[in-house]
Amino acid sequence: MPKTQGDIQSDLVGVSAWALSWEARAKLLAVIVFIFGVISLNTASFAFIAFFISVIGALWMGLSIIFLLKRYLIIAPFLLLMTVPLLFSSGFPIEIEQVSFASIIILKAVTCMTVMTILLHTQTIDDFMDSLAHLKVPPIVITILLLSYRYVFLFFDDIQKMQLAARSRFFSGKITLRNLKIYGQLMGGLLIKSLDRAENVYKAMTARCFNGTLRVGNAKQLNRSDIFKTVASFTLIFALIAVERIYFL
Amino acid sequence: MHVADGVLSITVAATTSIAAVGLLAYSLKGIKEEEVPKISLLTGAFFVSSLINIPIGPTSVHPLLGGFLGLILGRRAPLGIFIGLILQATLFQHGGLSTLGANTLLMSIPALFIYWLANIFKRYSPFIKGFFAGFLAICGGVLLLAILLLISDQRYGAGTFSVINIMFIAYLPLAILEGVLTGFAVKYLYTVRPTLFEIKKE
Repeated sequence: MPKTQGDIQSDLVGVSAWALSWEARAKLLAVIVFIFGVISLNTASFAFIAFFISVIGALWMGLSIIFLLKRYLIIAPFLLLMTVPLLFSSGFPIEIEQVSFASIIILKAVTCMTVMTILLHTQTIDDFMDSLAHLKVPPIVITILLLSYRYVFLFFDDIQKMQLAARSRFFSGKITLRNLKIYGQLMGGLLIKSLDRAENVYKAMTARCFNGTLRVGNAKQLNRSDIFKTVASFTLIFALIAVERIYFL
Repeated sequence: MHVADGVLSITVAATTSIAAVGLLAYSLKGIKEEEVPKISLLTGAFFVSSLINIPIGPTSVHPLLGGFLGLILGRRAPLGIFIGLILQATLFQHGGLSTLGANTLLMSIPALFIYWLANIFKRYSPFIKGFFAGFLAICGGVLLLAILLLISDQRYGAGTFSVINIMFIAYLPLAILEGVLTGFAVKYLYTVRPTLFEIKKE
């Protein structure tokens, strides 16, 4: 479990200037369209091209291969659950069609993970959260998101203190009915703390004229460079989809 | 649930994204400003609680708490779940962007169902309510995931050792574990703060 906000925040060391200067909303839009574009590909070869493009993009922006490989490990267990049974579903010998289907799933997943890594690690999470506040999303959703994001770090601290207190009483954490009861009480205790805070937080916020919407700064202006980068990513993925549909399906 | 990008077809990903927007609209309807800090704090607390790793042999599991959220947040649960999933995606890169809608539905629909059931079965003990909330939330989520996988591609359900069969076998012990954990947590909350569950009367 992370300890502080600093453990989670990307430090942006080594990220190229052009990636850092890409406006957060334009970058998010490019990532959403690119990911949905990747999902709509139907062949392993085109999924591989999309993967190759995304990796080149990530390296160009200053992210390292090792860093990307670590990100792929996050989705590895779920991908194994989704693909390994597919290979053996029709028994032995393994059919080439099943291998192809499993490969497409894996390639799409790692491509999307690469693109998400670009989105989240070429800007601070604070910048990303602020960019969401300037999208056409109901302000109440943004308010709850931003507040929850702030409170998460408060609760990280609380839960770690609770776990430390439990360990200092020789709590081993293994699965027994007694330990599950302790885990349940830890969760309940955290919720009680959060509820007690909620009342005070609401009073403090209303004293500062809170009306359900958080005030955020003005959005950064989009410039030609931002539009060019976003349109370039659209063009790449739409070109891949078009070529696949016209010549290979 | 952390369904990764690429597993669901584009049709299912797009449809579930639109459906999740509809569910969020339902969840947001009639929300009052005084609820905002409470929902935010509870969402943050649930998110952090779901990161408690319980060791099982060489690996560990973490609770999902969808049923627990359903019991406590009621119709606001989809909002809390959606925000929790965004936090998971941004802070830890768990889950996907194209599957954000699907993941929201997989956890929110069982949570709302549990909220509805809890209002019907009021006389049962807090532990039993909590157990079924946790157990049914996982079972409901896995069932919905199986449906989405089958709509995406029939090959997910082909053969004895199909993805769907393996998934049901893998998640059953987790559902029992989640049920027991939620049961104890709900029992504790009923003892310490019984008024907490009055949110259901909204």
